[in-house]
Amino acid sequence: MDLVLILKAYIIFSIIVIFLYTIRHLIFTYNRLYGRQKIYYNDLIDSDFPDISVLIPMFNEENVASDILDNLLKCKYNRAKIEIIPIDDFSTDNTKEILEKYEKKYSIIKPLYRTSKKDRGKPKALNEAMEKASGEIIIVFDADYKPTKKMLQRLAIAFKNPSIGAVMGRVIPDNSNTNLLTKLIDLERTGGYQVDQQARYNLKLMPQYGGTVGGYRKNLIIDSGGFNPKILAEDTEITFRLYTQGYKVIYANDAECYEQSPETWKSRGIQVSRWSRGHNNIMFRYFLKVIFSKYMSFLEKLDGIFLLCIYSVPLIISLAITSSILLLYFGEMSIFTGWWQLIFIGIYSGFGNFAPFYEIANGLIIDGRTKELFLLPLLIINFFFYIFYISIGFFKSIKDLIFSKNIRWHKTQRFKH
Amino acid sequence: MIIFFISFIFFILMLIPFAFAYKNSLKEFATLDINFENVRDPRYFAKSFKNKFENGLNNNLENNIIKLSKKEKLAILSENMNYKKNYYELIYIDSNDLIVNKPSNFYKEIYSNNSIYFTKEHIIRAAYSEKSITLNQDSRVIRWLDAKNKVIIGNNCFLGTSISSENFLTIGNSCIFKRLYAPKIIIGKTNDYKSPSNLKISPMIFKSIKRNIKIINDQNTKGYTFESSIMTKHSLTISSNIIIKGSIKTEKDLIIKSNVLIHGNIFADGNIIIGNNCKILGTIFSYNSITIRDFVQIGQQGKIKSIVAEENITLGYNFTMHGFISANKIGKTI
Repeated sequence: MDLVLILKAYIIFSIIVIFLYTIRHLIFTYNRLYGRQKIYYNDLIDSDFPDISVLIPMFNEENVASDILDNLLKCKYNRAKIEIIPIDDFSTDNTKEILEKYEKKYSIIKPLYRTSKKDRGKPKALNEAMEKASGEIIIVFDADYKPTKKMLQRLAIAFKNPSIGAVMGRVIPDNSNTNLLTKLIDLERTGGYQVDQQARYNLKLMPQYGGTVGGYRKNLIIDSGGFNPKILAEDTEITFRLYTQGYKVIYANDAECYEQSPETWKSRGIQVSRWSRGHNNIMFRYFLKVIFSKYMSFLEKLDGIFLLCIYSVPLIISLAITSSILLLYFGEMSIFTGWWQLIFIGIYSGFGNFAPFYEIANGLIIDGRTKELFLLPLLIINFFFYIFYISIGFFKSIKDLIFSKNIRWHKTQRFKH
Repeated sequence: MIIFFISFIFFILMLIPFAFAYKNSLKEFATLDINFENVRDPRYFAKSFKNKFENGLNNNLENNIIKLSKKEKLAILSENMNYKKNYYELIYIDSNDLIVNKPSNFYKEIYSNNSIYFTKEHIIRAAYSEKSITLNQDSRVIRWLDAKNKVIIGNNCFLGTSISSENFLTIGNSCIFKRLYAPKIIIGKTNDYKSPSNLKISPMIFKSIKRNIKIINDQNTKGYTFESSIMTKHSLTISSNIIIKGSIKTEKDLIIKSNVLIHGNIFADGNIIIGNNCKILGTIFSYNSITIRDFVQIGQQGKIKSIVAEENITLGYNFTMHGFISANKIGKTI
């Protein structure tokens, strides 16, 4: 078959993909601006809360371990119904000593000291901790997070609703002023939570459980085999597992928690590549399950498919860019003419720039942070940066699929402030 | 040459937004503020005012000026006064229990160490009492009322943003409200009130779940018990005289006929209608409206539960609740 024809067909395919994602992002933006907003269960007041176990996976967290434990101890929750399980995942720094100190002082802090270096990793650590946990609801925080006083009640109240399998709070970086990267991550977080997650909740689509500042019903996860240690994005996997089992994930925009963003491009690249690898792995596992799920609505399935494929889009775009360069050199770039060409260019640049651009701009306005709007053009740096690292993650996920090998967990580097 | 010039202009124009962005990226931006101390308190308005007012009182009052957030004029009300029609200053009641027997309008907050009894047709911005507040018929609250012991509201009142009490709240017929809170709330006639039976069943987690049913119907067996939680994408109707040992979630409307006992919580994306003589031990939440008919009991003595609707709530005659009621649009009593 003619190579030029294949390249042209591929470009048309990529335009359709870009167009669909652009529409999706614009719908979310429009919904947050003008649509009906669904309230979370903030207004519910109840004297009966479930027994909860708060799990905090930790690997070399001596810089932040005390902060999160102190914050959790200040949380308003019936002491008889809470246990805090920091999981020391074979740390080589002073994390273990810090946890031992807290264990002696507070009876509700019950650390789990993992000893096998070979079994290190978040999914395995969570599985082991869930066996020890007595709570019916599991709440998870990463070690660098700072929960507020109301956080545990806010998250746990969601489980009054029997259809809720997991709840997700909002993440806000507290080191955004460190450098350009952290500022750009802050913008992405704003668009991702304030607009994307909330709009998906408003529209009865698929808000995503993010693996931290969130919780889930322990029995649902244990009964379905616990966390799969071969999957890097265990949070996304839980989202799809719950939906395909007939449960929902709810987004609590008001359950806000500070986190620490990666401060170097290298650590961000590794993190994004890991997300891409894990997410695409889940795409291979759940694509058909979502389509044929008897519990999910049409809109949930549609959003689920978009969500599953989202980490393959940068690769699609990078291949489209390569195709267009090749076509340019072949002198065959005139796929469309006239007005079509304008539409072509508009859609082509849509996913990379305008769609998240609108969501982030909208999120900043909702949050009352209009000065940061000036930073929006710089998102183009992240666009090309992510295309590279997400594509690497995609190829690794293909390799995982073919060779089914065990995956080594790389923790995101923490930065002391 | 022209091509180079146009290219140069194009390049410069393209760089302008990036130049602005780069310049701004060198600035420091305020991190989005999270209030670490904030917790949900349905009596927040009253507690906050009480603290400020008592702090103000502890400082010296000069010429009846009290300092809360700013300096404010203070009027002291006592028994058997000739009450004015309009009060534009903060009100302090420190004497015995007080009866305001002439229709008066209070456009600033009232603080009382004792009980206050307002006869009919008052306008009150906000009032706090260390004992009780009685507000008779045809009155209007602009913001909130709160009393430590009890709040009694007559018929045909407009109840502002929030009415709350540490112990007891009763409200008459044809009242409009937004939020109500008390460990015990009674709507309508009070002398028929009987405490709901104290069922010792936790309305929390029920593992067994039935899905996508449209009706629970067993008219032949009085007291038929359905031992499961329910999740359905349809509207659900629960027939009379049924006991549900579980929680309910419907993606559409929920209609509960008379004499139904539900041990768990109720969540509906559509409207909820609860029939006469029903008892719900858990919390009720709707993304639309909630209508509760007569002689319904929600919650249990000694526990706090909620009824929250994103739209309207209508409460029937002789309704009993333990906890919090919130209508995002309009709440009303029959």
